[in-house]
Amino acid sequence: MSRSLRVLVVEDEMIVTMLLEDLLAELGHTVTATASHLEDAVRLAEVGGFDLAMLDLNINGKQTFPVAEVLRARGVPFVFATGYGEAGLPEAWRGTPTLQKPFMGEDLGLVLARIAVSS
Amino acid sequence: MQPEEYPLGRALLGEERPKLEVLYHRSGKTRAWVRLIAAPTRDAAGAVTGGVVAILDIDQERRAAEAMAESQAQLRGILESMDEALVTMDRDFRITGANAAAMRMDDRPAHAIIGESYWTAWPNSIGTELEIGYCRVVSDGISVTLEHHYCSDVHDFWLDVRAYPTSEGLAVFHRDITDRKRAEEARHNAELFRAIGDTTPDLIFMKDRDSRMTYANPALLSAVGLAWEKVVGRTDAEWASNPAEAAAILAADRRVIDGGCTEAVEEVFTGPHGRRVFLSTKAPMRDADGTVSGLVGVSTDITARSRAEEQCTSLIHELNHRVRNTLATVQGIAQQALRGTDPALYHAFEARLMGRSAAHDVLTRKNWEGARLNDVADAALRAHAAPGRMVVRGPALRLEPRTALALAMALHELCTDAAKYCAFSGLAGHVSLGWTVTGQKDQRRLMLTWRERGGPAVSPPTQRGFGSRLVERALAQELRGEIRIRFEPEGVVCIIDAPLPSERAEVWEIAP
Repeated sequence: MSRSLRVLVVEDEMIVTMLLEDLLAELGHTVTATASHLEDAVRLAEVGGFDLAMLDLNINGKQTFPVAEVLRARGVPFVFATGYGEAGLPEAWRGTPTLQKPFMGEDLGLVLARIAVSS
Repeated sequence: MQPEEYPLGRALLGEERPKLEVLYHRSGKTRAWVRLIAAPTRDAAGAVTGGVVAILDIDQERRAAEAMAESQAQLRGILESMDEALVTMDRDFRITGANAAAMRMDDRPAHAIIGESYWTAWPNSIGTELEIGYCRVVSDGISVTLEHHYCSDVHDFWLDVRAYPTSEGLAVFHRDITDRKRAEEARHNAELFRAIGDTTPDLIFMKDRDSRMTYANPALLSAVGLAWEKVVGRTDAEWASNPAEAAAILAADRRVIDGGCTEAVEEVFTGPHGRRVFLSTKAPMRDADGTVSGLVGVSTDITARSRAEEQCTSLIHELNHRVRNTLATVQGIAQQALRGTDPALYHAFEARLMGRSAAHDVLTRKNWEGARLNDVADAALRAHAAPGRMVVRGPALRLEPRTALALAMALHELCTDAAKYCAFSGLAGHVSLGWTVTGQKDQRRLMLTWRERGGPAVSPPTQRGFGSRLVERALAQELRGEIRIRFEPEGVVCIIDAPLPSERAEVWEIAP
């Protein structure tokens, strides 16, 4: 993954958003949009303007699958970041790249590299 | 009768006092009993010279005796022919008589018990209310009535006993009431069964070999929302709203009836009360000759329980999610706070956080009921060493959550130090981690050895780092055991020797 990516971060914990910004920056990517509410996230997903999205599975008590559906329809790759891990995903979303919180910069780098290969 | 046979004839022949009782035909067609007593008369030389005869009217006396004999015979006939057993005894309980019914009740001939003590003839009655009753009849002169269960090697029957005082001792009437008692018992059991069936919230049912209902208690009828008439002689398939549920129920019936084994099975039935989950225990019912004639079952509604279990699982799930989010937040805070400092500081912190997280992960998989030592070791070592550079060997052991976390942290610190200074810092070093369990039950101990070899030469550190302090002190406290770290020149050795009480750990299975 040599290309610099524009990333949408959907996360309701400000500190974690900041952590992601730093981890992504270390990997040479830029967070261009953030959302901590589902409605904002869906709108941003519909507007686009980014190459990748990182979605917390649960923000302010709401699941972010509607965002994922918009992204899937638009063909934008995304990663779930969740405390549940991939085992906690509903059947329909199994196989989606997933990072189990907490994760290190290296873990994030590996997942992004896999997406770059498959897309 | 010849003349010489009459008393006078016999007296004339020299007999001293011949007697004869005859029925004398009086005139007027009446007859009377008379007694003829004769005596010879003799001369001085003693020769019989003649005879005298006296005629006594004994008609009254004789008729009375006959009547008596007749009535006694009649009485005996009644006693012998009646169904009730009669045993008479003297005051010492010696048996003086027993009628036919009494002898039928016993297997012995009359002469075997007549003259014997009652307590010798029927020793199993000693010490029973029967003995107390008989003694009262004799001592107090009262009659006693009681029901007696007579049990011996060959007998098992209920007697209705009435004992009366007599001039010689006592007379006892027995009547076999075993059938009546058995009927009473059966009626009582039926009432008991009905009471249980009517009051229990559990569903009780009986089915024939083809799963057709032969009994259903009110709880079952209420659960399916049908009257008995709609249920009897039919199978679940005929009333269940969901064919798949009925098929599962009938399949379980089939296994019990064909296999002849009791089975406990979770069943779902959707009826007037919605979708309910039942735990059903079904047992085969057998004929006298042992063939399975059907089944009897009890179903307990466990809908609420299984819902609670689901809630519990989902709560644990949610909690794990939150813990992980919190760990991520802590990671973010540390990253911000340590910005601009030596990056090694943040990385050391991050590695410990990840170690903790990995241990948490192992526990999550088992719903926080504990973790296997193998899994804890794998999770801790995987982050630091290639598979070829570590050997993990030991029997499978289940650890309680606190112990698992403490061991995970300790292994993480050992790995970190190995990566920095020792076995994992070069290319050739390797670690072997092994453990054994010794002792039985409460005396069990875990002996775990971490041994580094093949790395750079080791010298004891001048200052104890956080890592080794954590390993030695925190673990000692958590495990209540002894932890020793030796800085041998060939490599670091850490030995953990800790008690393993049975409630804190149990062997799951033998590791490959």
